[in-house]
Amino acid sequence: MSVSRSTFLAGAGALAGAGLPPLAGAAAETYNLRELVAKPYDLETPLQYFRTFITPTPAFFVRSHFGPPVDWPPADFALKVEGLVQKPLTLTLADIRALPAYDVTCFIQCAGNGRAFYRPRPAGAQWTWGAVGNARFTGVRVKDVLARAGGVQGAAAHLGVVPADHSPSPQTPLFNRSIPLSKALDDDTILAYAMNGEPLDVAHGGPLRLIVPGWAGDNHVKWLLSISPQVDETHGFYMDTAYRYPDQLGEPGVPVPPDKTHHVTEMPVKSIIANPLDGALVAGGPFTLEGVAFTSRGEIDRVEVSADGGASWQPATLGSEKAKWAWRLWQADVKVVPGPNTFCVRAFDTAGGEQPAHQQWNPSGYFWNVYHTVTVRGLR
Amino acid sequence: MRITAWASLAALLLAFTAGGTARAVSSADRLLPDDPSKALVVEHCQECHSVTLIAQQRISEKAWTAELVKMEKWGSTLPADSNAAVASYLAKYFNPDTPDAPPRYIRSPKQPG
Repeated sequence: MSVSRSTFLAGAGALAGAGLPPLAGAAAETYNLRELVAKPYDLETPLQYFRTFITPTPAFFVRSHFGPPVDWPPADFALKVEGLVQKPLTLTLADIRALPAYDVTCFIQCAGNGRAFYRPRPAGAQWTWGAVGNARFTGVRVKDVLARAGGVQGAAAHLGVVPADHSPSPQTPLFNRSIPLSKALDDDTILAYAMNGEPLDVAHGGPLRLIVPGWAGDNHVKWLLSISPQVDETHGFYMDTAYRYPDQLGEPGVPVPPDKTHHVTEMPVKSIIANPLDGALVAGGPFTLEGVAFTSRGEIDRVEVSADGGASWQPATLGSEKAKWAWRLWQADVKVVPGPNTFCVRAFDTAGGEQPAHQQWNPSGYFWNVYHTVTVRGLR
Repeated sequence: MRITAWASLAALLLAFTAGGTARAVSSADRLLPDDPSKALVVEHCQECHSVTLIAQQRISEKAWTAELVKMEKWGSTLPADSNAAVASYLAKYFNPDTPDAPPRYIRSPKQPG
């Protein structure tokens, strides 16, 4: 990869100015990720890696509640398909790979991406911008797996999902989840065994992970043990208390009772500036802003940038690479003047969504999508 | 702002330098200020999560208390009669007015563990 002078300055300036990492490791396939939590295991992707349509797997953020399971996966790993199916069965990875394979290129974003920007600060992992990535997942449709089990019995309305990870303490709730059967049976909902063309690594949920395109990251359950059609939702802390959003937003700092909340699923439109980085030193003159934009609703309609802190806006050019559930790259040519320059980006989706300048607080700090602003110093 | 930037750089350089010395500084030593309650946090919280998760919070004493009550239900070995002291300690150093700590980076891929 060639490094332009402006990029080099951006990286170097960021290193000195904001404590950000060098652009990449010495080896071609290593990346410097922000370590939010070493245990369980939460890694945030620095923004300079959001300049490609596909986020390389080692650069892709990692979120876990209890960390990867110990001694995982076992040599005899197999997925149980049970509950309200006609013929419960157990599928080895070879069995699963023998079913028709589907590729889904989608962004995955943690619902709490941007939590660190809410005031008052909600408790939880303090993600800034980097709990999102875009990857190509390969696997089998959930509907094909259920068909292999003879189909779903009529009373089922939800798909229970049980992963292998758990806390060292047996009293800590498990991350057992469910999604509505209607979403589970969508053509694009898959059990993924590969990411970006390689076997799914353990950090990202291997050997088998649920992919629910367009829905918040908590639904993309990792380290699967079983799936089971069932009448009701799964219940427990991670269904009934966590990963829920208020039906009606209230006063900052005031908790909302769970019965006045709903599951986090679709996420609002959002865009991110990947170049330049906030605080960077940038050579004066023409500069190409770059970044990504994504939405759960419809598709990205347009992206606009501002070179004056949001007073006026100009259109950005969307990248040619597209996929139904994927993010879009964007670029916009601006001029960097000597001294401070404040650049903003905002995206609009075809469902009518647009990014706000301010955002109302919610108790868990979900769905931050205030438009992204970076300030850089232009050199003469 | 300028001082913060230089402090960040200094911290970054220090982190690299420290990494090359024989003595590894634990994240508990690095992140938790000395206090009579520090030993309780070191002893009772790290079985399930590293102190990095604690030290990045910026919440009130009331919110810390709620977290400790939740952890008690989730099997924390922290003696319940220490909750008030530990909440007070954590709120003293990790409250809404505490500046953010400089980010730390690791080289990926890295196998967790």
